[in-house]
Amino acid sequence: MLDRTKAPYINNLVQPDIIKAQEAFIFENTPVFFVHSDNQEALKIEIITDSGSKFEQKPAAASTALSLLNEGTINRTGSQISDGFDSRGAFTDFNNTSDRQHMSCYTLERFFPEIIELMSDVWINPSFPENELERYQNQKAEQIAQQRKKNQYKAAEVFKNSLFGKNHPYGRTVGPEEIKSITREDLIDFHPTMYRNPAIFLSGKVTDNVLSTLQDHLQKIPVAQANTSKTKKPEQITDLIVIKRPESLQSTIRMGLPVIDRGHKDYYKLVVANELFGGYFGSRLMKNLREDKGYTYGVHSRLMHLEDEGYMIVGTDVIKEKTEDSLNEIQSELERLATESVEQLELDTVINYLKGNFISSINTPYSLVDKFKSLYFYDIDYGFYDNYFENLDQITPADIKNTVEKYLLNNQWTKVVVGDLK
Amino acid sequence: MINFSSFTLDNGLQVFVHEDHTTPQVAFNLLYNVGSKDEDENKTGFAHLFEHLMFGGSKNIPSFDEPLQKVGGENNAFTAPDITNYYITLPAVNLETAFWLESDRMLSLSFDQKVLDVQKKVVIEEFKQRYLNQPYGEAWLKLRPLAYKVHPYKWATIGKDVSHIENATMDDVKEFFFKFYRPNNAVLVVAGPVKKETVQYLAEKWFGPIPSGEDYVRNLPKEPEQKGKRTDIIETDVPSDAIYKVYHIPGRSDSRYHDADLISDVLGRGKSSRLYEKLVKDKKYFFELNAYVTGSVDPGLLVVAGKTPNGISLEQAENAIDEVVYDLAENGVGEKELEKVKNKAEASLVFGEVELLNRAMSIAIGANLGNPNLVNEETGMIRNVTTDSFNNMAKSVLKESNASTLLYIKNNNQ
Repeated sequence: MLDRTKAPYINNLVQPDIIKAQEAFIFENTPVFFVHSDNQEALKIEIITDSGSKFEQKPAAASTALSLLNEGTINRTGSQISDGFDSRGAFTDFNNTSDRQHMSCYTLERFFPEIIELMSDVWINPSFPENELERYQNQKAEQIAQQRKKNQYKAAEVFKNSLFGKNHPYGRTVGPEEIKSITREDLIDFHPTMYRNPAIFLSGKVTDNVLSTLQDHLQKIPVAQANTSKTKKPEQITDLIVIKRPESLQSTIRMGLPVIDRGHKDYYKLVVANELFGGYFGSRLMKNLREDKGYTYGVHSRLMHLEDEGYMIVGTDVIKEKTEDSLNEIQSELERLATESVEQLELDTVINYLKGNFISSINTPYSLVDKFKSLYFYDIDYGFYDNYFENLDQITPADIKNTVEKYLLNNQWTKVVVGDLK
Repeated sequence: MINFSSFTLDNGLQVFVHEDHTTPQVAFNLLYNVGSKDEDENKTGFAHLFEHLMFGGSKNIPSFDEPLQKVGGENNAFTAPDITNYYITLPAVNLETAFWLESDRMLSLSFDQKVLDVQKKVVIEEFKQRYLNQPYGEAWLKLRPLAYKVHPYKWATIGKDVSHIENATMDDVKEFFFKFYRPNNAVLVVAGPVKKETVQYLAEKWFGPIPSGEDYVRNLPKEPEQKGKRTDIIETDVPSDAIYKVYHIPGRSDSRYHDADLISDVLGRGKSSRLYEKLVKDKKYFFELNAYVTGSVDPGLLVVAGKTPNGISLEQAENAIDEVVYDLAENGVGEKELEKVKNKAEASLVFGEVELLNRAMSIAIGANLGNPNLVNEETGMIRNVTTDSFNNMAKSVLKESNASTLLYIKNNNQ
């Protein structure tokens, strides 16, 4: 008779070999990396440059310039560009961050020559048409005004402002006024920045043809090597900030603090501590605020890494009347981790969960390239992943206690509430 | 081409195996043929509340998540108007754990009162977070009953009203479970580096002993043809005016479904679409405007949704949409434009098949529609759309008598 109370035998998870990105070639200091797979019809190309918002002279210049690339070049109108991508079924995604700009495109391999022609045209020859700029500004300004009415967006902005300081490149947020003050000249001024230190990543069906077509196009690109200096020291505000929106049904909570970077010897311990605290569905915070009390649909903590700063962020939306209560519970879960040793069983569970997560994150050429990028830009080598399971296995309950006490249980927290305290 | 093999257990559980030996991971997808459309009109939101309860412990296993996390697995679920779908990804070496956990909760839940009490609260917070505490969050709570008068698509998956969730009792839970959560009302797909024989052995072992239930015969009222334009207006605290206009279209298993799908692409998918080109770029009547289809099993909706800047009246905005939409109905589409949206639809399918879990889900959804091979046939169906079939469909659905419009008017009290 089948005994359903007894779990099947648990097999140990073995560190998988991660397929490493290869360097295809370096063209005039621009490296091209790829992960090829025969099983794909599609491929993704991503061009990344050192030209994020921290390099802009005027707030919003970087994101506006990037958004306008697709709106017209000296050779094509905006409509011709969108039609060029759409008629081949390609998807583009242009993403601006504080540190870098990403231009990526998913396409069927057979269309790569046409797609790379379009991408290099928009990268090299944007015309920044005045009327498209104006339309973009009106749309974007309106969208931000809309977003700011959402508690979650507002909380994220105030959190950034407070964690780094409003004048810090990582803490700055832009609103309708900044968007509307951008002129065509600002974009033309910013454009050369978009050639800084490009690196190109290909994944999927990366054939020899794809690589040689890419190489031909790179000849046209005036890449610029540039040194990047570190961002200035953040000016953090560690108070509890409450943005009152009494009409809200829920309060949004965002709280966090600066943490060690990924090269630090204690980093793996912090990864596990974060996961236990609020990283996964079985976390202490989830069990407390959701599964035990029903205050929220979800609560999460995450470790985030910008080029020069790392931080932890805890986020949740809770019953408004239980806001203060929730803040106290979050604090008490932190204290509990710092004072009581975690049971070995709970620790094993979270470590296996992290291992399984890792196994599922290296399944496609696209995710393998993402893994590589997450090392490449931070000067970390593949050893970080090759020794991942081994490092996780060495962590003890005492490590967790000490890590939480040392890095998380302090008064370095920035706390933001949008809604109300009760 | 996505390969798969299949077998059916004596208790009626259909099992599909998709072998992919390039990954160390398994996707385990269990689809139950029950959605919010199967709910009692006075107990809406129940299928979704039920999905939450499925994580609150089963007959022999107190917690679903922990044992799975312990073997390196992860899981989630979603509820839709047509189906409820549960999925696990885990390292292939621990595949049996997925069988153990999923079969025990199909056998029986623990029916713990505390779990029900807490999950009612959690779902109510989800209701607030997603629908009530969010500008435009209520749109679909209003649109559904406007477009559907008879068919149960008239209520949203989250439910018609918070009180329906508050009033759910343990008896309701048990009745729902034994009616719908039976092996003969489910489809299992196992994908990854597995062999059919292994899956068959494990399926017999863990799911085989579960008794089947009575066959569920779905007998839903058909939505009658709409005989005239409908309009509803919400005046509330939103950042800007908005318009949602919907038209009835055929359901997912209708041979004409892809015509309707491509019509929505021509109208409003991406920056080279007609609505975007004409009304966002040229006239600037909207700063956001899209068209898409709901893709439901029973006859669904083609949706045009947009937000307008200050200074553009909703009347102007709707007239402008009508001009573009009815121009398509009257003059149709040409080869070149149709080819463009077909390419895009085809590429989306290719991109969608990259992830193992997506492939498993596609097989399950197809099987539930009666054709597990749908995932391999869909590209052909898209290719088979002709300008004639497209234009005929456009003429028959894009008309004012088939339309319902929801207008959001921003109130100026702020």
